[in-house]
Amino acid sequence: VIPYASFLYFAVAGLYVLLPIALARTIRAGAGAWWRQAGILAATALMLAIQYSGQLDPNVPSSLRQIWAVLLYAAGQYLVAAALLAYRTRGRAKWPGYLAVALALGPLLVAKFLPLNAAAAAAGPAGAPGAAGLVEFIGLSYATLRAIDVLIEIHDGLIKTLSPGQYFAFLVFFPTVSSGPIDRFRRFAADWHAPLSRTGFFEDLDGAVHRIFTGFFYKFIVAHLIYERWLKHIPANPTWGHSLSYMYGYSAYLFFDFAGYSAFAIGFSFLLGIHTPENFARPFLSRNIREFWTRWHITLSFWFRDFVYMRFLLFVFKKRWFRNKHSAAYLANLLTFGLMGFWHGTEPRYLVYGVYHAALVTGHDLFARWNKPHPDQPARIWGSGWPWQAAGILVTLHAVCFGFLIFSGRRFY
Amino acid sequence: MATTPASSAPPALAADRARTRSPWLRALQTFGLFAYYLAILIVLLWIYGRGNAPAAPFIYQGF
Repeated sequence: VIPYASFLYFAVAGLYVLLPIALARTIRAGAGAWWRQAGILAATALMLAIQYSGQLDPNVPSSLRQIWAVLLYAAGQYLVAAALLAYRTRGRAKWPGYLAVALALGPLLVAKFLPLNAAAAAAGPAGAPGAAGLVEFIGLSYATLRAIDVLIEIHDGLIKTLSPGQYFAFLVFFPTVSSGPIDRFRRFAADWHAPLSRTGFFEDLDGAVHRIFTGFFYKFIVAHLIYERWLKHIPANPTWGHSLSYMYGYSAYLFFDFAGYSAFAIGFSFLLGIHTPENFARPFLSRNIREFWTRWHITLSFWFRDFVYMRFLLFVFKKRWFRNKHSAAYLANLLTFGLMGFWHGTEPRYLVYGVYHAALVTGHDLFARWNKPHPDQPARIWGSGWPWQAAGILVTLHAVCFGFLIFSGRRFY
Repeated sequence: MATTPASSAPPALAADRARTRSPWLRALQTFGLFAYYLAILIVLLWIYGRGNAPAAPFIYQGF
């Protein structure tokens, strides 16, 4: 069963998981946090069994079901994290941390690069979760980022204890397992340990209902209509007019599709008492490309900002690789956005998409520095009044829409 | 000596006014949300109630 993709999924999740948990949170208001923890674990185990009940890959001669791949993956990642934590209590060397991150990346790299998987992916419907390979399950890319978050924070000494139940719940938390939003372990832990309260439950219920309805509006109405009434009717031959129409249509579709999914995931999380962070904040109203990346797929862009961009800059400044801090930042942009593009898949279009955004962010920084007003001199060209802000929104919108056209893989030339 | 401007209401009265205004605003907000949710349900029934194909798979579940 594909999460949030059918009314059957909502009926099953609502009847067997969310309703009992809501009732328990009402009746047991004021109980200790372990009620929530037990509820989350039971709900996650049940929903994972439903979501991952299918075989791994019909093209691979194996009867292995996805659920076993998920459980094996979670158990393996827990062992790696627990081993690193045990080491960090006595050792200070850095290589175990690097080794642990490499081990966490292993399954994802195998899934992306193993020829068997590439053939299986090619045989499956494009972009559909049925294209999973021998080790891949829906959400592996997201689980890998969550696993690395834990490892880096253990390495930094920020995580001191790691219970198997909490780690399992965080790594494969059922509302967010298939496509995020990508939560952080320490933020998740705060909710995990918080005591239950009746007021808190009703606030969560209010937020959940609103998000779930918004999810239906975005995905099942707006995205559906864009797909059925717009995208499906654009001819495949790449004329400029068709490409332009596809660019706007696909951008809108991508937003309503993913923002709808995120609204469902956050709404379900709220019902379980976990305040999964938002993924979108009106991205098409961004005034520049840097602002766009604080409003679009926020949990992914912040993950890469914290664990790639900032780490890379700290590393190169420590090693004194660059005399000019701006050169280091531009290389960090290329690395961050290149990896972010690559994270989506090994197809060249994703790498081009990442490099394109690195170029946009770098270009914006260069322009902003050149244009910057000084105490005795106004901005050179781009002012700060509302017409400039409106122009900024328009330029950014078109720049990101062109990026989504690259991302879509549709030929436009 | 500080004087109270003639146009400003005493604190108790202002609080009372806020209390009387707030339920109406809250009711209006609740009604707006209810209408929003109801409209979504009606459109969902209109689109999918006639046996239309389910929505396409989520793009980001393919990564």
